[in-house]
Amino acid sequence: MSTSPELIDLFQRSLNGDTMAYRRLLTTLTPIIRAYVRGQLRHNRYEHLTEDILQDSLMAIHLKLHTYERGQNPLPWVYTIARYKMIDQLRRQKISNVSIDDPHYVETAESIEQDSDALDTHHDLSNLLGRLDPPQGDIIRALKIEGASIAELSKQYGFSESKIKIIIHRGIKTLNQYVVRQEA
Amino acid sequence: MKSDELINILSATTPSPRASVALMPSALGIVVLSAVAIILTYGVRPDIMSAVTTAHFWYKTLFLMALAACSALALQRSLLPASTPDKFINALCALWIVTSSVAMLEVFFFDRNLLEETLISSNTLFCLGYISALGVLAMVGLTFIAKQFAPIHARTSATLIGFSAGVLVALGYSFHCMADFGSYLLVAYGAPIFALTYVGRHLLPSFLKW
Repeated sequence: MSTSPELIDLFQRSLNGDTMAYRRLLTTLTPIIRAYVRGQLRHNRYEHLTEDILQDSLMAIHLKLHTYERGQNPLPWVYTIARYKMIDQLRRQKISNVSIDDPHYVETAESIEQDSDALDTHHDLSNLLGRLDPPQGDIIRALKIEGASIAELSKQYGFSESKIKIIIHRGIKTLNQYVVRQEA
Repeated sequence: MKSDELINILSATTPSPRASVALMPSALGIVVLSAVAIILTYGVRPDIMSAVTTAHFWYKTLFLMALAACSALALQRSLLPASTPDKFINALCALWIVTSSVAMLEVFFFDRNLLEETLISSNTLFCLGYISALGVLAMVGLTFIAKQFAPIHARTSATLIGFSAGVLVALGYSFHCMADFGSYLLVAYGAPIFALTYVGRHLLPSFLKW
């Protein structure tokens, strides 16, 4: 998958608004980023930051997907973002003596597929969502934690479905800004 | 939060395929605004009809256009992860060397009194002030646009923002300015561009964090 046309296709379709492809893209990138970050931090004592960095990277990919140049091999783009977020996270933790290689090394995705996804992280979902202006936090919580659909939320709040999607998008953007500021 | 939950939340909406404000049209807009502001206030240079027949006029105009295009392209590349602005930065350095060489030749082969007269004129101070003042506004605008992208090397992007702001405003201003000497460009245009570059490099990196 690493340089396959399939991955490029997922990026293209995501940019064209295909939500299924976008979901698959994020799911595909998750083990790749996790392996890259873990590979970078393996020889240090900071492997426990892997999930935080992964989530920061996923948020960054969501917000900056338009900076991917269509048709290009997306992995250098992904690794550059992951590396940036890794340095950012290490800086926030006031860690300055970690050697981070250029993003060429990647552990095989398969080798880490079996790993648990349930590592504890520093970002607590409820606290984060509680910091959003109403009804952003409630809508995001209802949609993906309580299982409500966009159509139901649209009726409940009296907004159009696209308005609900915009609220979710802006909420995620605010969450990202908050996480960046939180420990800066 | 587990990463799967985050993926669920993120995939509820697909991200926007493009930035809400594009960089290159904005760069062109800065040039136009700078030109319109100076022309509405002071008019086009009075000797425009005779100037267009001289090599100096075209040297100045084409040099500034090339500098503006290279700086905007370099800035654009610096805002995209996994792409480098190196070749455009090399082009900028080459252009700067060319104009410095032209300025040196002028000092040796032109009437020095005329050069000194042009450089010491009140127009020079106005030029310094105009490019600096409008350049600061352009720098603020470019910073907001840059924040929509993903600058990995914040200091490089910040430097290019300052430089581009100065060059784009200078290009707009040049339609009013009557001095076409390379040495004049180097001093009266170069000083504020350098100042904006320096300010951008030292002030803007923290604003570009994302």
